[in-house]
Amino acid sequence: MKAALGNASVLAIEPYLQHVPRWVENELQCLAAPFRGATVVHVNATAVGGGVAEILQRLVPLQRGLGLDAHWYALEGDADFFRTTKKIHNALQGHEQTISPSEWDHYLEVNRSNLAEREDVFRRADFVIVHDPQPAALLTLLGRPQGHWAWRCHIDLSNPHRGTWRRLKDLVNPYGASVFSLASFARQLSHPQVVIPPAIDPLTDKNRALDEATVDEICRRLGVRRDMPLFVQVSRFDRFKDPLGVVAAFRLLRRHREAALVLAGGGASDDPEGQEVLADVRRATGDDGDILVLELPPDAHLEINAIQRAATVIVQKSLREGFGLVVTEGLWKGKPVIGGAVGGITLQVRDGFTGYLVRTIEGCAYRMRQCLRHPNRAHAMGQRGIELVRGHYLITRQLRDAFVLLALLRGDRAQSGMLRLS
Amino acid sequence: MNAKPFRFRDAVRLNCPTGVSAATLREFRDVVERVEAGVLHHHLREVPLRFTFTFWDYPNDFAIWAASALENRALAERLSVLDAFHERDIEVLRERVLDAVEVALGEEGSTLPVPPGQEFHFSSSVAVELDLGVEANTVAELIARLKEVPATSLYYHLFEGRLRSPEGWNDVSLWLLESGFPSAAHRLRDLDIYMASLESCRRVVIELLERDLA
Repeated sequence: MKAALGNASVLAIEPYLQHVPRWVENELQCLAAPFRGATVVHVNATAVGGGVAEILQRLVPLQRGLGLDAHWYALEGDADFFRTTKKIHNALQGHEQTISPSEWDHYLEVNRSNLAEREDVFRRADFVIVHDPQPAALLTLLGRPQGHWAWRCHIDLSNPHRGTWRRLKDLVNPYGASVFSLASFARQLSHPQVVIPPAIDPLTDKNRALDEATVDEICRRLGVRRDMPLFVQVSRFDRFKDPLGVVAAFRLLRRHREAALVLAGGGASDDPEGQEVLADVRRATGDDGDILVLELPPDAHLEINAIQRAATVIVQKSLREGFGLVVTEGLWKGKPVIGGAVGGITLQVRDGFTGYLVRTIEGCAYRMRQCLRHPNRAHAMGQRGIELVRGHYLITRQLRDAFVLLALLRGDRAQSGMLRLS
Repeated sequence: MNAKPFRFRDAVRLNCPTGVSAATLREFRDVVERVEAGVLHHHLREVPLRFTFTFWDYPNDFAIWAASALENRALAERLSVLDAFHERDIEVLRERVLDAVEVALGEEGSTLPVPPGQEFHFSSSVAVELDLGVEANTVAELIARLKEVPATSLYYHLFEGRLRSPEGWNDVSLWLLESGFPSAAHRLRDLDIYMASLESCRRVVIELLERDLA
């Protein structure tokens, strides 16, 4: 298991105050005070690529900046392990999968070998936050630690494959609490469950303001057309993100309007299925000059920022979704979002207010056309999206919620529903 | 003038799902009958915290679900007039919800399940209470601070404060009363702020105080 972040990586709150009200700093300092010096260890599957890694790259340095002794470790595993965890991931999101006993054994074995490398860290930490199913076995394998453990589930567990969930549930039940991105993702577990929606960082390359010249230059370099309305879907090449559905919707739209489409996907080291889906997308788009398929490296944050800013409308036509931080990113850039009516997208896209929720390819095509037909309405939705994100989905709010979780784990309950910090 | 300054507080909350959900009105009724009081409090009273700058057509989660998932507007209307901030006893509110549901269950089509993904998910909440370190010694300072504090602090003082006081005073109106401004205190206590977003509530309260006291 490798440390995913250098010890010198620390972030202060001050720069965030250009985006959030000043009281946020005071609130965070009050919440952090009882936990100064406490060791908080995060564990996940990958240091690079995907929403979880992006959050931890900022959340951990911010926790350090507020006085916590925060650390982040990423699992190390072979291709078989990540193939199995991808199957677990898909099964938990409702797809029928068969995970053989030997695959489960290997899953446990990789968790065991990762634990062995850092056992002392996990045994002594005041708080351990284990992200997603990949490292979920660590607590069971460790036995009785000193500190408090929480399982942070970023995926949609609302309709899991029952057999897979039964296995995982046994590994999760010993934790002190579980954290989900939406209430509908929660299951019946033997410990408290809380909802902490994830968030974006407005200061990162992916989300910071860019001037028009920079956007232009990056689009030119990538071959993104800006001479006609532009629809953009940024996401891993994953069947749950339905890139083929977006292509089909775009082709329906083009019966009526000229437009361009960009499908931009980053890879993640724990997603071996991505290449297959990408090949399917390339086959479907063929030599269509109005559709650009971009395979971007995991660190192409500035490029994604520029493409999203160049977009007329952001599309995220997912069939299953955890929270959908890419929707948050699109809203923060003042764009209306057409999103699949699933998971966390329904929390962010309020029909007709910040974008449109769709359930079909036809619905997606219709809303694409509607956004082009009513540009003023689309612009107003984009502006509301900025305020929605500012109020609910910036990382300062997630940081704040994380302290409430620590208080809950420590058992600071004073009276019904109210926790006292001490 | 009140010798005691008004100190602004807030509660940082997390939604706590129970993992229990309802796909039909009958299942919904069965859960409402037995669920902890904190769950009812969350769904009937904490909606403004989730939508600080917008307001839904209906003021609580039950009514929103009735309208959007069950597509039962009549039930949504009946659930909208529960007066969750005027009635302090959660058990009385539980009975009112159950009464409205019983009426709906007697109507045709009431046993149909909602579409997949639109089940009602029951939750409660936990909160950490905070002293924001912000205080007001005069009405002018109070107005200035009301413009700055988090919208959730307004909820703590104006919405939940009302539930903490046996006579239904919210924290700000009580402070005004003790500070020698009885008429403004009464007007603020009686103001109907429960049908608006917190940001719009902020505007209304500030306007009232500026008109009465500036």
